[in-house]
Amino acid sequence: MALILTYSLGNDLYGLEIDAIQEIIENPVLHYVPRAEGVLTGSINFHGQILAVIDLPKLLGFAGNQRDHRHLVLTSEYRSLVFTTCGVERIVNLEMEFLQPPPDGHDRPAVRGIIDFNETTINLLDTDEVTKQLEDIFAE
Amino acid sequence: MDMSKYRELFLSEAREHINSLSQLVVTLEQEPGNRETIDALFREAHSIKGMAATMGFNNTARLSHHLEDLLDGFRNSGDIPSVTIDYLLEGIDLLDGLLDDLLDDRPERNTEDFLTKQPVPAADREKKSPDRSIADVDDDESSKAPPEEPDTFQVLIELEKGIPAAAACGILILRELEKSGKVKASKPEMDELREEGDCEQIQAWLTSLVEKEQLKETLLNISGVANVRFIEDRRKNDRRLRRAVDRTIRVRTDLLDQFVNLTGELITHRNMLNTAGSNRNWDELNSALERAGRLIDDLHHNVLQVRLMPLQSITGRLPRIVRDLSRKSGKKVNLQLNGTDVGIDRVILEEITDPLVHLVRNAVDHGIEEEGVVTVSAGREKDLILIEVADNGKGMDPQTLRQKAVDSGVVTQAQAHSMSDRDALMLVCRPGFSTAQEVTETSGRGVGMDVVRAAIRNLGGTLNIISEVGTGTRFQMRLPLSIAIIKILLVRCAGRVLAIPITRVQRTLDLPTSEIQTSGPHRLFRLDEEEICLYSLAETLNLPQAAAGDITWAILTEVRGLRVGLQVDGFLGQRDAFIKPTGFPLNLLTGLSGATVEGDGRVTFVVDPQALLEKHKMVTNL
Repeated sequence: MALILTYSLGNDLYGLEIDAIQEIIENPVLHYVPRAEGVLTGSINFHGQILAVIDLPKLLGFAGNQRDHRHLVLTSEYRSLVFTTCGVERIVNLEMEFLQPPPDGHDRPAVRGIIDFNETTINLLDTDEVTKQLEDIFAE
Repeated sequence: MDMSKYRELFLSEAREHINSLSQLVVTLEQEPGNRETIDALFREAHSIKGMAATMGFNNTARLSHHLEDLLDGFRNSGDIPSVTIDYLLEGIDLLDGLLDDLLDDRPERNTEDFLTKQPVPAADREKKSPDRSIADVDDDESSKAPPEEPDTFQVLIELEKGIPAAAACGILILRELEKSGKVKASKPEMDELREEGDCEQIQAWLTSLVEKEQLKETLLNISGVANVRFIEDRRKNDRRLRRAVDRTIRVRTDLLDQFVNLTGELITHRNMLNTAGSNRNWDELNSALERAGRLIDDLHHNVLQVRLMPLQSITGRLPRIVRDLSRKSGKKVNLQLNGTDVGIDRVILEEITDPLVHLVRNAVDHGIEEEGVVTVSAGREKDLILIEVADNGKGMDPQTLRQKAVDSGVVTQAQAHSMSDRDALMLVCRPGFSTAQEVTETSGRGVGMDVVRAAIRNLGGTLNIISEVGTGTRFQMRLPLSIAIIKILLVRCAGRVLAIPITRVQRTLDLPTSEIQTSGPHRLFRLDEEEICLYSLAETLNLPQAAAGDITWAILTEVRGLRVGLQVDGFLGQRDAFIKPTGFPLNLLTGLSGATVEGDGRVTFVVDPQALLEKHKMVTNL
């Protein structure tokens, strides 16, 4: 069993292991980052650490401008990234044994695996893919 | 001369290089043909070779030289066959063993077997690979000295629909998996399969050393298996990469005593502040705060002291290097050391050790012709440390360098033509550029100067080359005193506050706006009889530049040897700031060197005007 935080990106439901999340903070003060543009919306002072806030829906190409005021701060294992999402849903307890690789033709971006929950599909976020995309964008 | 006191330094440094060698080889294995990785590997081997040769550890030096040669052969093709990867790893293990020998004061182990052995040619290997079975892999594994850490992953095996005796097939699969590693869990379990007759797919968590592709092949050979997919547990891999290196430092006890005293005083002051605060006694509060400020300054000074080490600790081995080099090359070289008692932050010192040695070697190898003097001098220059390596040799001719750069494809003819002499001299810092006609053990392969420049840049310093044909060459490194706490100038820019390291600011300017001239796309102003280009900090950050009033504020800075002005909207003063490194992906942004947190929690980013201007490509238009 694993605790998964679910959140929406566009019309899809995504999930992230609770273990990967350090804290969820509401309405943090965003600080200007020189030369930041696009998916990098700013930085936050998180207990003295200066962390980048990533607009996850925009990074992964989801339409719509609605963003939840709650920000997900990932653990240092996930490079302490801070994500905004379209909407933070809830925490569910899932049997990870049912985690399936994304089937062929699954066109949602950055999915590590899928799992069905109450007739909805939760796409488990592939954080490595997110990191890789950020590297591609920001490596100069 | 007694080298024993540098032994420990060598051992810790060499171990670091060996660690990155192994990491790089693994990276290369994952992305074959990545030339940057090959170059990086080559540099690491080169560094070990240089250090070991200096210390007189001959087997280590020969082995790393051998690896370096091997890597050099692949630098042009950019493609390393997998058999060479194995060979490289074996060599790295051997290097590691040699270090263990040195650590335990044993004579260096024999490397002859390895040196005379050649990697199996790639063609033979290809013939062999298709019929490699799991059994082969096991054999390989047992013959290798240190076993790899096994990988844990999740495998999903789908069975063909409606096959007879699906459960039996499932059992067969599980047995096969157990042969290749440890099955931590499976769904369904072996017992369930024995009892029930139905099974559509099998999911298993496997810890195994077997390569996934091979496992997949084996599993697909079992009749009834339709598909095999892997779900990786990447977190585990990440954790492995993040293994931190412990570092130690020696501190004088009297310095530690001072820390204890200062901390004690600070605690007393906290109590005074508390009392003054609860009594709302502003006079008392102010004086206690003032005193606390002084205590913090003292503490800061002491902390820096702990981190400072004299430059001598790394220049001590230079005489030996120069002596050996002169003996080998038959040149008569005199080394002079000046001002090496200057204290430098430990981290900076560690990072400049290799670059400094390299510069001295270059001076002997390429600077001096038959007889001459190499001078290493150091000193404080405002908030910076200036370290200069100078020779009185033949000097470098910018024209020769231009031609050489064009010949080796580093720059185009047109680029070379429009290059200033100063930029031409900096060409020696380009990867793959070498002016030496022949390769020696120490230098002349175009490796090194790019490392030197990169190391200095990473520390927030600058490298400057001054050379005159017939007079000699001077390499000047300017480095910050400390990398954690620096003096910053706070400026206003498009409604935001930004910090610029004082070391990047030659002076601040308040120019009468009417005296700024426009020439095509450029703005110019006069300073000390010189026409200087004026750029806008806001524009380099893609922000709108507000129109200046009667006075245009700017800082005077230097980009590639040219003085340039950088317009800001105003100055907010300067102060000491504790610079925090920024997290991913902020650390990838060019021109951001860190950030500092203000008293009220606001985050101010520190920008490097030179990097910003270079990035903005405005200066190249000149």
